[in-house]
Amino acid sequence: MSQDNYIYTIDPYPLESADFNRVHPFFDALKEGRFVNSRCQDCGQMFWPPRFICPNCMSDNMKWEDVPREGTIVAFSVQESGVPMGFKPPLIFAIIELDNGLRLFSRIADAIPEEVEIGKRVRFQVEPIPNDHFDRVLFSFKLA
Amino acid sequence: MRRVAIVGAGITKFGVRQATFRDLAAEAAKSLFDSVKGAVKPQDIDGIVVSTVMPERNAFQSHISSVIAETVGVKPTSISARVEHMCASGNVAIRLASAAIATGMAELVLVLGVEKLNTPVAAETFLNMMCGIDREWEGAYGLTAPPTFALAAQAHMRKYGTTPEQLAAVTIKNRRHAANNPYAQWPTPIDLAKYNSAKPITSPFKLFDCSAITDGAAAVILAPEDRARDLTDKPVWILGSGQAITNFNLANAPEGRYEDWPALRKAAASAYGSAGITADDVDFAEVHDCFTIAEVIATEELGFCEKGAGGEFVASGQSDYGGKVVINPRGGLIGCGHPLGATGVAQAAENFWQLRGEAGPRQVPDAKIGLAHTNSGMPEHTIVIYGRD
Ligand SMILES: [Zn+2]
Repeated sequence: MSQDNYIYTIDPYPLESADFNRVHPFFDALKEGRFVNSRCQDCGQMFWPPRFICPNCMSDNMKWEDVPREGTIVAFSVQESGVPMGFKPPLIFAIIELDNGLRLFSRIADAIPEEVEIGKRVRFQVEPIPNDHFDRVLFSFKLA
Repeated sequence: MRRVAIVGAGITKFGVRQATFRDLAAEAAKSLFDSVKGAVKPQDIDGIVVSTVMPERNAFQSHISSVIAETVGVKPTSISARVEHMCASGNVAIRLASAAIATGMAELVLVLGVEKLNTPVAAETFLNMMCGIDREWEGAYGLTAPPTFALAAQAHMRKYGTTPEQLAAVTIKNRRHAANNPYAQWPTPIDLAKYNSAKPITSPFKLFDCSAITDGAAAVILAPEDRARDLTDKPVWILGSGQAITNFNLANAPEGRYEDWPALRKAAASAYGSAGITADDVDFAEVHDCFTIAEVIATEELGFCEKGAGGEFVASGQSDYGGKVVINPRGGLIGCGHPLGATGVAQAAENFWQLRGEAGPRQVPDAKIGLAHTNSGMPEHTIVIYGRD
C-alpha cells in the first residue's frame, strides 16, 4: 500500500482558520511573517503554547504581541528513522529559548545535522505546509 | 477503606499479532479465567475498567468498556469505564479500580489493558502516536516520543557523564530477562556488538534503545480483602500508589531540564508513603523503560541509587538478579514490547506472579514487595506498589 494515497481521518496540522480556532491570530500573524504570542493583560504572564484564556488567572483579556525572532538552541535531537507518515527524515527537533526567555518546541530547518549544537543561535522563519489544500503554515528556525 | 488485592492475572503473547483489538482482549481474558480454574467466572465480575490508548485511530472503535465487557462475558453492575492516560493507562486503571473497591462502589473488578498498534503501514502508527504528545504544537512538526526522551538522554550524558555503554546495559539486561518470559515480543538476548551495529533512530538512540510497536493485552481481577481471602490462598495486595504530573508540552519542563524528573520523585514519595515503605524495601520493580534512558533516570528518581548514578547502577549489575533491586524481571518494555494500554496491567500481572513465587525461571528469590512504574512522558509518572502476606 502506498503512503501517498493512503487516506487518514485528519492530518496532523492545526486548524488555523478563524472558523475553527480561537488562537487563529497566531496563524494569521504567521501568514504575514510575524511571530506573536498572547499575554494576559491581568496577570502579565505569557505561556507556550499560545492561549486565549490565561491558565494562571482565568482571564480572557489576552493580547497578542510580537515576540523575539531570535533565540538559542537549548536541546535537540536528530531523528533519522521511524518518522510519521508524511514526514521525511532527517528531522531536527529542538527546544529554543527566545531572547525574551520564552521556551518553545520547534524544528531546525535546512541545516546539516552535524552543524546543530546546543548554544547555537537560531532565527525564526515561516514555512508553508507542503501540498496543503488549506494554505496553512508552520514556523521553524534556521541556524543564524 | 477496604484493602484491595489482585486475585488472578492473565496475558497474551506480545508482538506483531495476527489478531484484532477485540481478539487480543478475549485472549487475555481466557488466560486470566483459565488460570483461576473456576474460582472466578466472567459472570461473577461486577465491574470492568479497560485501559487502552488509541483504539479510535488504530482499531476505529470507541465505546470501549462496553465492547470489551461483551467480548469477555462480563455484564457490569457496579462500574464500567475506559481509562486513557497514554503509556500510564494501565497503572491509572488499576488505581481507579482499586479506589472503587476500597470505597465499596465495586466488588470484583476486571482491569483489562489492550492495545492493537500494528497496521499494514507502520508510518501510520507513528503518525497516530502523535496523539500522545501535544499534537498541534509538537506533533505537527513530525514529533513523536523517541526524540523527546532523546533530549533527556543528551542532557543526562552531558550533566552526569552517562555513557552509551551504560545505556546499552539496560537493553542487554532487559533482553536477557525477556528470554525467560514466554509472553515477551523479544525473548532473545542481544550483546553489545549487536546493540552498537543497529541503525540510528534519533540521536543518541539507536534501534535497541527503543521499545517496539507492539500488540498485546493483559488482565487482572481486583477484589476486596474478604472476597480475596475466599478466592485465593495467595492474594497480592495493593499496598500503595502515587501519581504526579508537572507539565505536558516539552517546552514547559521544570527549570527547562530534561534529565531531572521531579514528577517521578513526587509520585514515588506518595507511593512509598501510602505503602509505608522506602525504596530499600522493594525487591523488584517493573520500571518504564520505553527508552534506555528512561530506566536509568527512573532508578534514580525512585530512590534505588543517587541522582546521576543510574548509568553506573545498571552497568554494575545492581539492578540485576543478585543486585540491590531487580529491575524489569519480565524484560521491561524493551524486552516485552510496549502495547501502550496493556503495559501497566502486564506489570501488575508480573507483580502477581512474582509475589506468589510463580514466575518460573525469572523468579526473584523470596520477593515480598514489588513496584510497577509507568511514565506517560518525561513529566508524568504513575506508580503502584504490591506486597504479599
Ligand atoms: Zn492571567
